[in-house]
Amino acid sequence: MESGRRKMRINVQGDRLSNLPDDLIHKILSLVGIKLAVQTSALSPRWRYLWTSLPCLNFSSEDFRTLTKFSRCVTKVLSCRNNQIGISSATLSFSFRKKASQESVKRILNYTFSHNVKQLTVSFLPDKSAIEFPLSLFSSQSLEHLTIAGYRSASSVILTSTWGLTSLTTLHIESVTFNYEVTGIFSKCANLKKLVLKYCSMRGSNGVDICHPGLSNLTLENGLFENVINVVAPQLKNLTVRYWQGLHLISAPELVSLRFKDLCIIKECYYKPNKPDTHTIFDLLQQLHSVKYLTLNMEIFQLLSPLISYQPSPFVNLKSLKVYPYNYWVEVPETIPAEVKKYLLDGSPSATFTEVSCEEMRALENVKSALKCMVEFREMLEHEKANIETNIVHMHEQDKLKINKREMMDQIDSCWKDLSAQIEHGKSKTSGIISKLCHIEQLLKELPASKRAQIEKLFSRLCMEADTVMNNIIDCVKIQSEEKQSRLSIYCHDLAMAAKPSFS
Amino acid sequence: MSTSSSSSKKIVLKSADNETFEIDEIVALESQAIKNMIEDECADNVIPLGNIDSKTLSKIIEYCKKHAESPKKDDNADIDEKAVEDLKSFDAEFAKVDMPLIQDILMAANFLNIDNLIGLMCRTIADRIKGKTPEEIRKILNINKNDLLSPEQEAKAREENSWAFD
Repeated sequence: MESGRRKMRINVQGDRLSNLPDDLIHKILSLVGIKLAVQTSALSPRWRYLWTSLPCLNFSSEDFRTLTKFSRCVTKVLSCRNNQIGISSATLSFSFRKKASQESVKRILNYTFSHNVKQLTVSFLPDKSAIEFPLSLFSSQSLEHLTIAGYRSASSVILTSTWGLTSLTTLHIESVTFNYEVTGIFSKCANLKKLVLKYCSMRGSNGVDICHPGLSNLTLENGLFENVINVVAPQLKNLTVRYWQGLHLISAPELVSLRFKDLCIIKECYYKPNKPDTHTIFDLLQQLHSVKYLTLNMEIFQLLSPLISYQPSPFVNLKSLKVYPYNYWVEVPETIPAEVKKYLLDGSPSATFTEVSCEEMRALENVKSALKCMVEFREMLEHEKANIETNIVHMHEQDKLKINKREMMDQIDSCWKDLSAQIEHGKSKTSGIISKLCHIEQLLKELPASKRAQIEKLFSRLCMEADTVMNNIIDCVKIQSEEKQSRLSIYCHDLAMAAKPSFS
Repeated sequence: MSTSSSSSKKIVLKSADNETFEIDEIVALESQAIKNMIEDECADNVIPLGNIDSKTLSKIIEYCKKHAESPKKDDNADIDEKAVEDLKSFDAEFAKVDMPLIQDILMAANFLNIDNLIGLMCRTIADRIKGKTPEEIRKILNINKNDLLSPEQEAKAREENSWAFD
């Protein structure tokens, strides 16, 4: 294999990374944020100017203590950067409330657009109340992929005005509220192929139209739209709907994969008045002749049940039908109505039918939360380890000063206080760790067999680490109390001796 | 060489230290470079990889095996959430190795053109240097002591970009 021409050095002593081509180092730098990327200029001659040709810019105002520092960074980066190099992708994370931040964000967006950016991710930092963000800032002929993400809840960011993004093919919008004036937001993106809306809401409008001749993927999750969405997408291949209210009309003759999960129809929910009517769902299913992969939840089966008697199945191309339980925390599992199953499967005798059990869903859910807990737990342990180290260093730094009697008495007082505080602190730390351990242990009781070994291995490693950290905490308390003890005895001794009348 | 039944076809890779690894062709195809060679029919029975040692190579094969056997993200098929989760945790475990090996894997993955693996290794390195000072990063990346900026040069670099260092 071309080993002669493209041979790389192996077994280079120490640093292999510096031998890598620029684009790989750039890849790493684009993941660490612009501030650290610039700091690497002090690493070695190889790294001295690498950041200036970075094609991916990653700004986060969080990396800076003040907004002034963030603005200065933006100015410096945009002026020191090699202007000849285009920008392939940019990531921006900020709060849009303060004027200084707004100015910086506008400058970054203008710069990236003038450098033909293809991919842009904009995320908002948490803020006390909702931020209004004008979409008119986006104006680009080159942008193909755009992600806009608010902070957790839909009410944190409100998108206003509209945009013109003619080349956009992928649009991912998460946790934002659309203002009424942006109803036509999607129609400005004529070339859209993939659209994802998660945790979004729309304020008082007459509904939204998603009409794109080229749209092939559409995902709607956790929507709080007060009014309906009309989907007309002749090329739509994949449609995923989860926890979504008010999906009205879908015209998608080419649909191949339909995932209809958790529609929130029967279950009590805030938006009851708007619940889609079952006939709509039935009509929708009736027209989807080309669907190959169908994923539904039990709720839809139960909804359809009274509507279906002897209708022929519209699904003649079905390859698989997968059914998820609706409420998998209940003890008694739901049963699949036979007539609905027949209706869905009759047209495609060779389709596979999979029913996901409640246990399986619970086990999966447990895996997710166990993994999440373990990550948090590991962070907690790391944090404790660092704490212990600084505590010990800090302790050795305290030196004994010559002090007078009064200060000595104060010192004795504070020594006792510290001592009990340290013991209390140690106690709360260890019990915090133990309760976290017990929580994870509880989660691990129900796990899928395929995951059990791997997760238990991870957990046992964590347990050992927790053991070490707790020992260290206890040791640290011990060292601290010994130190306090010796200090106390010195002070007490000094005071006692000073009080003793001298007979000279 | 005929390319009739591709499922059972074997490919042999030879490491720099002359260890051979027989793997299914489907696993080898995770490498775009090997895939190109096979497609251009310029792959012999044994593919020598003169710049990848056996330790690195076996690690890479472990990765390719796992990724080859898990279902591909096909837009038309139903996405298997379980498989996606499973692959994620495999990747997380896979990356828990020391920095020299990570750098070797990255170099080799770059050579073999295995996109996902390049991404995984870059993310791993990025995570390890995040929030660290240049001194710490030098240590983490094992940057050669003979290959540093002179004190004056370093001072100049820090001065020029002083805004990034506070």
